[in-house]
Amino acid sequence: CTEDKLDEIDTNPNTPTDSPVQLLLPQVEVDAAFGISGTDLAWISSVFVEHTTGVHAQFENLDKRAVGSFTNNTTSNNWNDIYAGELVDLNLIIQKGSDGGSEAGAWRYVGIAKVLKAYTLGITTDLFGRIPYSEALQGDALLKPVYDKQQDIYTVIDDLLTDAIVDLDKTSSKSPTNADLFYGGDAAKWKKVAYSLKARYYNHLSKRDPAGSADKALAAAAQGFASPADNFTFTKYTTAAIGQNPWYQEQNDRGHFAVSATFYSILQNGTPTVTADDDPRIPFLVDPVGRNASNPRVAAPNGTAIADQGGTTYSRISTNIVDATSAQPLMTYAELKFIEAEAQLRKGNATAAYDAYVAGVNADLNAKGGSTYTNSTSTNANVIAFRAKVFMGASNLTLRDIITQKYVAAFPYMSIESYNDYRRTGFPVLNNPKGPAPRRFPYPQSEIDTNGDNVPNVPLASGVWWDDGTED
Amino acid sequence: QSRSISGRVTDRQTGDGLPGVTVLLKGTSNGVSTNADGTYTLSVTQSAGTLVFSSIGYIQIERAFGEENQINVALAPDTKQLNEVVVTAFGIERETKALTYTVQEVQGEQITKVAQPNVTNALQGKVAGVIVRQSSGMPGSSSLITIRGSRFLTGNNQPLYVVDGLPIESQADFGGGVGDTDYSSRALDINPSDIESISVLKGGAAAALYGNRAANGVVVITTKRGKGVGKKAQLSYTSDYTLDYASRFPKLQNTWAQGSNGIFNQNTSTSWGPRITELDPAVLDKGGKAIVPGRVYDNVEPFFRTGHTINNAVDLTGSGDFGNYGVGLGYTKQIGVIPTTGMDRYSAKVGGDFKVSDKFTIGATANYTNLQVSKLPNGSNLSNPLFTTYYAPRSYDLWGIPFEDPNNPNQQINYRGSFDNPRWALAHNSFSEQTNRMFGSANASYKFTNWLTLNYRVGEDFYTTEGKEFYDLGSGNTGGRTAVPSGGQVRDYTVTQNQLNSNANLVFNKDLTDDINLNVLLGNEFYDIRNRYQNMLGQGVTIGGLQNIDNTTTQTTTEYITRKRTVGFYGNLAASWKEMIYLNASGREDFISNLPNGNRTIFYPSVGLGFVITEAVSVPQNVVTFAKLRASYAETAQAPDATYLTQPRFVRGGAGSGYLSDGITFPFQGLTALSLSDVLYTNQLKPVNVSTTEFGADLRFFNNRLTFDYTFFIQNANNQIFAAPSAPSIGYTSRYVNAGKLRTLGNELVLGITPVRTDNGFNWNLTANFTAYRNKVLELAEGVDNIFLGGFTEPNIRAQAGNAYPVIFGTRYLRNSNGQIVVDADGYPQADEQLGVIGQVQPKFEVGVTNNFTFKGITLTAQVDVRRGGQAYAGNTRLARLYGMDKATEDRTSDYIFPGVKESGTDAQGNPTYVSNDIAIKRDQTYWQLVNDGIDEASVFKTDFVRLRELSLAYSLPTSVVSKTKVLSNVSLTLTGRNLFLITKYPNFDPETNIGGASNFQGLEYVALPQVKSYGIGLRATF
Repeated sequence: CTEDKLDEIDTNPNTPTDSPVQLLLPQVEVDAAFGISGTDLAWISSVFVEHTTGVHAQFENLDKRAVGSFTNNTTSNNWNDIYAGELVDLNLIIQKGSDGGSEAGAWRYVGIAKVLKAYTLGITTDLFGRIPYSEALQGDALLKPVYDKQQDIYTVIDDLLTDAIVDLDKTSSKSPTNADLFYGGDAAKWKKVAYSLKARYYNHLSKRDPAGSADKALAAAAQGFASPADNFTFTKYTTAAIGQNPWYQEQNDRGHFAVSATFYSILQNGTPTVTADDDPRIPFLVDPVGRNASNPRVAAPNGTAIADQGGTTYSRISTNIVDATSAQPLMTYAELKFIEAEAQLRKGNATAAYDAYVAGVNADLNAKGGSTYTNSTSTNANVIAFRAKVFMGASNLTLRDIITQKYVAAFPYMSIESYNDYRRTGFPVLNNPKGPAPRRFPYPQSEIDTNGDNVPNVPLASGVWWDDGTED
Repeated sequence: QSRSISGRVTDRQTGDGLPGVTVLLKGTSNGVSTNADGTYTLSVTQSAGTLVFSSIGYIQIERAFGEENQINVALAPDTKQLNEVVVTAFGIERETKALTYTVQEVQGEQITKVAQPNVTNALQGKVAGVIVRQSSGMPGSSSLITIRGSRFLTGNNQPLYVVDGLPIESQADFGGGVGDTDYSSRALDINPSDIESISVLKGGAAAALYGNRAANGVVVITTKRGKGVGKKAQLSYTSDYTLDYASRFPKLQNTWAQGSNGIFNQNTSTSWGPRITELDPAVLDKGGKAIVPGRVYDNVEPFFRTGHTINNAVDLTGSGDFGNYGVGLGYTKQIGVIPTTGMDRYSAKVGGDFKVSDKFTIGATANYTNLQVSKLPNGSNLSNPLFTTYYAPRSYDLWGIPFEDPNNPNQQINYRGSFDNPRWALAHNSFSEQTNRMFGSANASYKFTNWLTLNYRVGEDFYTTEGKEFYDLGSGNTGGRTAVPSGGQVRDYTVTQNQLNSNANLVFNKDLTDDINLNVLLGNEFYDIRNRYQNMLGQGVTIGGLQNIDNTTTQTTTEYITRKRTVGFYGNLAASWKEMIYLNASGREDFISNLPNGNRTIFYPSVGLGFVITEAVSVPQNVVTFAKLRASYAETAQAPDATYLTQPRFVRGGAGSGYLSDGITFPFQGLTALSLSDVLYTNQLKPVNVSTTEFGADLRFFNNRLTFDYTFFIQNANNQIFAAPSAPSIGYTSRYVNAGKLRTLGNELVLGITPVRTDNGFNWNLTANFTAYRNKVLELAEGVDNIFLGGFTEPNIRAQAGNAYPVIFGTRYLRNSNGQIVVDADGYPQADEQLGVIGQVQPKFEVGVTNNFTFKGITLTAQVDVRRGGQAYAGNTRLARLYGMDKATEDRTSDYIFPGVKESGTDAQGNPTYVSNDIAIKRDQTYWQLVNDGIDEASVFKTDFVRLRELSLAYSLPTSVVSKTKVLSNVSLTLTGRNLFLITKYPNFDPETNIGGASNFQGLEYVALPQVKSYGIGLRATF
């Protein structure tokens, strides 16, 4: 037996040792939608921001702030997915497609990857604060990456989006079609995502730089989504068991979540500033108990709900919005309009703020049940009454109104963004009697175990940089 | 005057008459041999004298006589004869006294005594240093076997099995997960009835000749081949029948109804409702009947049934001038204690040796096994039927309320969502595997001279295991408990393995002088192992009940092939001087495919020395019969089990969450996708080095009535190969490294005592196998404090630097610097924010004590196993408390003060001060669900036990009766029991229960399937 023979025996017949960008792109897109935005991080945020109430197991414990419910292990899977999954694959695409790479000139792929990288870093830093970046993702070469300041990560996000826009404008040696599950390779749409995300992340800095953040957000938003047709939405879920919408899978596999009392009360009654009548979106968002039309809708009280895994006591999120193939928005035109409204309000432009607010509400009403809600000639008494209350006129518009409607529009998929808004603005007003929601997520045990010197030791009640102005 | 003395000589253990015993009048040459039935008649002229009874294999005794003319004696077998031989590496037989390392033998009848169908399980308690962990009492369940603890942090820690000279696969195809079905260990394919003897090669020195794959020791099995049986063919028939019962049931509260916060709710998983006596009779239960206030249902025991084990085996053996042969047929059927579980094993074996000439011998062995196992999902699987059996609320009539909608059998009726109703799960889901296996070898031996022999053996071990796992439409584990039943899954998998082994030995064996013997072995071994795994997963069952993969909406297939080859050259030198000093030295060099080019060679040396004191110093033989000291040192090594660790991998794309069964898997939308593996592979690996130093003493006193075989060993396993966890921020969650040190210090003692041996044939033997070792992880990789071996996000099982291997890891109680638990202002214990070690899995010691009483034809054998000093995470008990079902949750109203301290202020330095806790709490839902449940340490318990592992009472029909049948030569009837009693403080369940299967992931139990106890009867007849 020669070494050559032993080498031959030791050649892996199962997996390739390299991959073209075309096979990496579908993976990073599915991971962005499902792994990073669609599962645990969103579910935890959902319970904290009282979109939903945990009524079973871990999420019930989170809702009840039980001992040991929010630990360094809670987020380990997601952190692994972000760093050892998504960011690695995104970097491979960027490296392969850029100058000097094995597929140099594949700028369309590079641009999309940079947008997704900015998006991933944004979610990660918003939840955790300081995160590894400048020394990260180098494998054996650097085993203990430092944690960069959130302020610096925000610069990185902006730079990545700026670069992405440049790359998306370049002539690309190859372009994805089907492999781009979001837009079929349409560079113009991806540029709008890049601008819209810029607006989102500028606006996150409202507490640090109220005026500057508003100007920059508005400038970016102008080149963002022009209509809901541009939405950054994952629409490709299938009825196959291994292709279904993540919230739908969760509901079937575990049934952790019921519709929260805080959220449902807003739908029914509005807020003290705007007492709205029953929101016409209720039937679209909230199912009767047991999904039986003859049952009432019952929201689960926050912090005190009884266990209800089977969904026989409390209402579940409606199958109108969470079904096997339901679309999952990552960022929408409505959100962009609410960002504009908020920025304009910060600048003191009440009319412009109100126009954007109305556009945001209408866009979401339209998305949740169709034109009957937005048609101003609708004869539906509910709709008329509702519109009369929430379209209160420019002079009466408050930040609370904007964030409240944004909170409704974000239900249930974009709870992370609602959690960010809550930490920035204090809205919606939360009601959990068991205590306030944590203001950041705990770092994973895996980092503490192997990179402990660099992991910031921060209490969970302490805000991230854009929240309280300090990094830790 | 001449007269006759007559009598009968019998075997003290069996009561059978002994033929051919020499009966000699002491001091004369007057003697006779006993007849076939053991009788003798000797003419004497003296009025008094002494008779000497002697026979090879028995302890000689003398008996004085006077005027009597009848003398019956019973001879005790000399089981520890000094010239007894044991089988060592490559089937080489060595005299026990010549060994410089540790080998312990177990006879076939010890294995089959209580009809344990799995040979590995039968070894528990019978060999010092050998620990067997049977995952459950389910038919076909896997077992972990280790010899002298673990050497490898994440690699294989189980010994090599060798059957009739052929190394075979003995391990499970898959390791244990927290929610899998268990996978049988392949040692189960061996029919215990075929076994003549088992020789366990324990340390590095004993196993070194086998090289790379024997670092964990070797279990050498010799099957019955008719050697020494005689020209008349012997046919033996064995039949056993046992009744099996679940060994323990949880102790449940019987006061509180289903519900939460004291309010009845018939859809919740918890029993924190009102008193059952206070239920509202107007409410209808889930079956539509009025609820009966005060009615408490026993939901657990009706779930179980009486299991059966039926074992039949026939062996035909014989020998003669031509050679020898053995043919064995076996059938074992088990019906498990949980409906639907069971096992069927058919086995056939034929083997023999043929003397072509005085110099040339050829032989062959072939074994065939067909094994079918029906099993169940385990642990956290949502279709594990025990999950909803153990914790079905006492107010819920699990057995009276239908489990499915009569109009739609895929629509379950259950007291809670998501999880399967246990009755529905058994009726609809099914899990089975079937193995077809052939292994065998052909060998030839040529004797050039009486001191030089060449042996060659080539063999093949081939098996295919086909599994089918079916979750019906509507099944909880596939997310099917929806308003309209959905989900369902078919998994068809096949594992095929081929092992080719070739082995040539040249043996030189010569007495160089009267005092010096030299034995030299030179050899070559080649083996090539191919394994192919194919998995077809069909998800979304279309038509309920149809188990074909075509009946699913999505199919995903996976294929995984591994191949590895090793070529080894070795030599062994054994020399002895005056049967007083024994020297053994060996070396082996292996070339291994699955190490990186340039690092493929491993050399293993060993050396050992034995010194027989009783040959050097004159001592009274009847006091110190034999005394030997031995010492050995060996280096062994292990290549990684896994293949292809040297190159990067791009793996099939997908996304998921720990909370989801399915997630997304590519192909998706007609696209395939790849993702760089989150494991960093490296081409820098070197083999793991294991060095073992052992010292032993073999001491026998009072003509072997008291024997000690003691060994102390130090084992260092350095340069471990494992996937060390890394900060995920480097882009990988783990990376393969050569690092880490695991040290084991151990003591083994085999103690043999014959406290009573009377002339009338009563004999009491006691054997104790004592095992105590300490596995300690000295270090892991740089910057790595601990590594994950298995379990949940928390708790889990880990190896931690500076600690014993392995440890339980999870949420701890918050303690002050004095180690006292600190309660909060409400009097509740708190969780330490830092996770840490919450338990030690490894016992301080284990001992198996076998008492054997024989009197005439009656033999009573009892094996008691004792374990002390280990702990396990009792996930089952944790759930029982979370759900408010454990007996401990019955008292929800009394005041309780948690034993701990509370903060009382601060001292001068500003540090907190503490006083004893005096805050009374109620142990109610808040306590159990929101406080206790979040602290993993609260669910860690000691696994100490005393267990009657085996009990058998055998009666051999007297020869006088049996011989009258002309055809029968021996008949015995045996009453047997396994696990008949258990003394333990471990709550609710059997402390040997585990969900890790045959993996390194031990010490975590979570709705594991139960252990069983058995009562049986056996018949053995020899023709």
